[in-house]
Amino acid sequence: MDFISVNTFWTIFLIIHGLLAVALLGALTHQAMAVLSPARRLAGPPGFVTRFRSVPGAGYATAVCVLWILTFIFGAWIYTKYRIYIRIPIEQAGYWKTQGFFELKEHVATIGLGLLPIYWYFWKNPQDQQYESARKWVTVWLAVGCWFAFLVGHVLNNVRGFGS
Amino acid sequence: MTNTTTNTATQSAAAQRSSLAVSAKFKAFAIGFAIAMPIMYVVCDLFSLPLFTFHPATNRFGWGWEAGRSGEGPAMYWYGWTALCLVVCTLVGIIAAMLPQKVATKVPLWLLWLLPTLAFIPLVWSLMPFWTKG
Repeated sequence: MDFISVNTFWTIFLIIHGLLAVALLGALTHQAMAVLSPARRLAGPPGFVTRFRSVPGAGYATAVCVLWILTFIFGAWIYTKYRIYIRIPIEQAGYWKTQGFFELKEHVATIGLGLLPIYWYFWKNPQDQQYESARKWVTVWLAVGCWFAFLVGHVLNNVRGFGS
Repeated sequence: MTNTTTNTATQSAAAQRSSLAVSAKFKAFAIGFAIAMPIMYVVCDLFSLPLFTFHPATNRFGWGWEAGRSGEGPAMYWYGWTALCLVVCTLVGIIAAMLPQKVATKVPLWLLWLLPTLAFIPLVWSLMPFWTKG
């Protein structure tokens, strides 16, 4: 690891974590929109919102599971450094609520992990009407959780991230 | 002719689905896993039950709960909670998969999203020091 500084190494990890989160956010948002407000056939050409929610949700399921797990692994790895180099200064600066929201972010990530197998199963049986409601709300739960975790991570990076 | 084409397409689509996606045992496993996770996670968090403690400053692991040692930085429990949850929930899932198929069909599916949502009531409450300081 002599060719790369320690700071650069962890910065690259944080960027990869962020990029994976962006991909996950996009996939889950498309899917959540598709289940909450399914597109209907229109006479004219579809607009942006209609196109956004017209995605075939089932095709996203495996990618969402893989992305959630990869984002989780990278986040968990970075967390070792966060605990010492980020959290301690945040506490010293008195940003208690910011730290509290980070604690919630880690809770969301782990509980979301527990939903992945059944989420995947529901989406692999998209024609099964008995799963329709559960599929919808499990997907929305994951999408809301992902947005929450993403925004908390973004704010934390602003508080004490790159260059601090 | 149309019916034959439709049937062939349906059979082809079914064949393309992985065996896990049509497995009743996997469905039971996944339901057991998903229901156990928020319950187990809340228990681990509220009762401080990590499988192990990680000390990031020294890269040291210790079984169960350990306090941070003087001069060795803070202790981390989230890895231990997550690991214990994964182990226990996997076991619950395996047991659920071994139960008769009709048991899984009786589980209300709304529990799958309601329990993770309700889990945040005690989890937010457990973070009260963070909300009330400063």
